[in-house]
Amino acid sequence: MSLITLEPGSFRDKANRIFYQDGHVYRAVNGQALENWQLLASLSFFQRAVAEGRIVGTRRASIDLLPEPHRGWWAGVLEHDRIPFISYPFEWSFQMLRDATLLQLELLEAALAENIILKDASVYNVQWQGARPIFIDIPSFVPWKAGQPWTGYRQFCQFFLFPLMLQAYGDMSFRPWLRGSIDGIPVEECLRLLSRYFYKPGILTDVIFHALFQRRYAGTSRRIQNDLRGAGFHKELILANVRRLIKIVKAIAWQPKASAWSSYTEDCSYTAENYESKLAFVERFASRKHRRLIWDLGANAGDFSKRVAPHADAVVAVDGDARVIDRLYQSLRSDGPANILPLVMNLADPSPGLGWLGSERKAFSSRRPPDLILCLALVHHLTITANIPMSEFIKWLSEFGAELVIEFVRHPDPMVQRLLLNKEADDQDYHYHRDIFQSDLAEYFNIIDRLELNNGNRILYACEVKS
Amino acid sequence: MMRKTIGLLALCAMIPPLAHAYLDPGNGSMMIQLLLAGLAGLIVSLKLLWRRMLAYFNRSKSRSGDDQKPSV
Repeated sequence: MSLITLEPGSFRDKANRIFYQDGHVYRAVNGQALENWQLLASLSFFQRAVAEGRIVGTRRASIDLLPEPHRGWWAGVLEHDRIPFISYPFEWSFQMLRDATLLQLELLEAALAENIILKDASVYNVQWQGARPIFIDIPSFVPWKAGQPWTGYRQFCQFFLFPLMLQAYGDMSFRPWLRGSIDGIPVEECLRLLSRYFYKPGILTDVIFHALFQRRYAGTSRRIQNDLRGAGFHKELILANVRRLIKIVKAIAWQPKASAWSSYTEDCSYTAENYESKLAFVERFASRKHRRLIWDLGANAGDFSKRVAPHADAVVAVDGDARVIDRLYQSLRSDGPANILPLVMNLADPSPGLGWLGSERKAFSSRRPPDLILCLALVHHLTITANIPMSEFIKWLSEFGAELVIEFVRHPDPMVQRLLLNKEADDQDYHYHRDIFQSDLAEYFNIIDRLELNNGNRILYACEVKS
Repeated sequence: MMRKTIGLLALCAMIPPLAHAYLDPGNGSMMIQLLLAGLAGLIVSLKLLWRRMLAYFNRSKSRSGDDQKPSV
């Protein structure tokens, strides 16, 4: 039997623990969680949500998967369908967080109808199958006991509602807040940030009054839950609150200002013919074999992700521009393909390991490695705008052991000229030259194909990593 | 809606928190659910207030009973 690997981020809820074995995802559960699962599996809301892809596919597995010392601690083992690529809310666009929020609320509403409640509301319990949110934390569903309030309400606000409000009302990105705080945006902090928008839906109730109540009851010695139970707190109160929140979230919208690259594909220097040649070159290389996972770094409108998607199980399309990714997400939701996950991330500052021991939330580079990386029209942005040494970036790419399609844009290109415009240094200072690039590339990769476009100002390289 | 909200807020604020400071920052988040649930929450709030008042008077009564006891 092969060894099991415990998931370092799965320790908060003592009722269960995620582990991996031979590429499969398992969850060891205690007696109560196993009993809850057996009940859950028989309920129609749960079966419907699994069939619709809104809750991760789950089945009972043998407890013999656990090695001897672990076997006595747990009552059973469940197996989950594998999520193609784990991502975190500080990498999602606004619409993605909004849809994840609606999923959380709608599942709670459906569960309550069958006397089940979500005991917490962690945003990390939502993942993605392509551009569709999927709920993964089965033990969060527990039987609702008479008189029990929604204990996950505060967590819901901190992880879902406040970040959405911050972006929609304050036009401030929620991503740095979620990346900076493992527990989301606290009520008091949200009050200071957003109280001036008291007239917007939800601010008066879920932020201002919520903060006042927090202050008033912070020092109480009573178990408020017992009081509420005694006073007849009932399910309809939770449902009324959930429905109110669904209404707020459905109405919430972010109107972003135009960003520098959101019209990039429209005004980039490729002619339609050259652009098609570039697409065909990338697809030809990608289709040499079927890929498990492709990363498209600097994906922009996602044209290349879409082109290579038929040749891969999953594609992760990454771009630093939240507006561009929002637009890509919406196009994927309406027209597909269904296997592309769009993510917002500044590639000069990729997501680090966060939380307890720095491994509760994994660094972008420590997650599932790709077998092909696309890196098109990106190097000049990283080298000139972010001052990342070109050789270090290429070395970083090589560490994944994947094949690579990379584009170098020479300095006569209008885009490079635009990036250099307000820089005191010139391309010489950045060692930004085709010959240097090629020699850096050749240090880690074997170049097996190339294509020159736009009078040789844009060059595509298809490479295999050196073993 | 606003009048109902203000009325509920005032009512919930009347329910006295008891001191003996054990910190549970989620308490306020649970109490506000009464306010957020609207009319249905109003009824539970009233019941909660009524129970607290009863508890308060019962305690006062038993304390005054204690006062009359001779000290030993």
